[in-house]
Amino acid sequence: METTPTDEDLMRSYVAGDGRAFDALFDRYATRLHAFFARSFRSGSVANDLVQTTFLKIHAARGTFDTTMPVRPWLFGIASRVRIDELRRRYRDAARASDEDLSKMTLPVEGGAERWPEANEEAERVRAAVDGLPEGQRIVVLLHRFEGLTFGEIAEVLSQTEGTKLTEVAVRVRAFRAFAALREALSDLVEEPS
Amino acid sequence: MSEHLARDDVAGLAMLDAGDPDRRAAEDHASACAACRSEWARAERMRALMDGLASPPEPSPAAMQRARARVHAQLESESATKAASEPEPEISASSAPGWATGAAVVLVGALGFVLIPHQGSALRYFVAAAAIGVAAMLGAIAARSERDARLATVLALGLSVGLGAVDLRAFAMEMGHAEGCFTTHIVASVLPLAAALWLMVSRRGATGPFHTAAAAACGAIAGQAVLLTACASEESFLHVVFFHVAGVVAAAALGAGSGRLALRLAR
Repeated sequence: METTPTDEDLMRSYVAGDGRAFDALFDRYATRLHAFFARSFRSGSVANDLVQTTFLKIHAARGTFDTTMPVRPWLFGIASRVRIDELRRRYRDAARASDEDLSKMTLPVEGGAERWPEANEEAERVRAAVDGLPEGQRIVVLLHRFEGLTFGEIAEVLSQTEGTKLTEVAVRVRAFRAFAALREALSDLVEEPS
Repeated sequence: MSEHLARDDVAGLAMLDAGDPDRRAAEDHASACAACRSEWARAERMRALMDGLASPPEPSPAAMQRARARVHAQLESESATKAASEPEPEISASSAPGWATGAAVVLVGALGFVLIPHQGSALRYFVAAAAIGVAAMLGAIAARSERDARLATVLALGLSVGLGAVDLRAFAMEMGHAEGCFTTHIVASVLPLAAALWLMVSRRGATGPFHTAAAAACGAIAGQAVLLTACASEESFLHVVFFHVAGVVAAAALGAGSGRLALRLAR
């Protein structure tokens, strides 16, 4: 019986130059990364470009991949760096925006026709509340709530993008703060009907 | 959990996976505590609101294809650069039994004289023996590197033509009796080809399809040399071309194909 290769098996083959292993990884992650970027910037076309940028960076960095480590946080770590670069590009004062500044800024989302509609006004409010979170909390919500990463995996991702070693507990605290902030921002929506 | 749920933590607890022990404990507590129940219900409602957000649009297939193609282009470019910069592997005679192919050629020639009825002048036997010796040498040389294998293949084909020309009389055009001549060449190529394939696999593909092509051609030449003392149609140009030289060419092609296949497995 043929077993499905793990991400790590595929990554090892890809690092060795196997184009089919790359295709398999691409098939597994391209749509997820696209969703991650699309949720971040509310734009499908920006997400298309960023997926390409991410895979080119993955390709360039594949030689540094530690084959004993899990692939998913590594891939999302690279995607998160691409996302940060795009965020910096969007701020007028990008050159002077420190990591701390970025972590506090709200999301400069794409406007216009590309913003896919939410089902109703309530959902639009939830979306806006997530977009309005400080970057440091928003990224945790995106990765945990929508991409299904564990707090441990998010700690790995953020350790890559923020340059300091984060613990699972620290990520959990950050996530709880984000959800508490969302709870406050959406308090009128979550009240039980009287 | 007997303490009341902290208001700041309730939303976070509700967002944890259903199987998370902290979430289960909070849920159990909320179901038994009137004070916390309503706060837990709000948190659950917030979770439902977030779960209800629309999915982003699907990625553009054309954009994804472009992204995939760009990485493939880089992979191919890197592969070409690597192949160009790597020196062709040279394998010394002492580090690998390159003589195995040559020995197989000599063995095939000897077996041919044992198994096939033959007759002729001493000069004919001398030419046959010399051809087998040269073929054995070319077989051994072919095992050294792919560059040497290319040279050995060309020389083997030339040797085959030279052997075919030994007995030609005024370019007679009859096809003559096939008498299994073509098959004899193919059968004679098998043992040296097997030796070359074994070498190729044991060296993890350090040599390529030309090595096996040369080995098979040299084996076929051993067969052709034996037929020099056994074939009744050696004087016919068409017979020599279609059953002898073509036999060596076919053996070389068979060797190249087998080598390509073995190379995929070895590398």
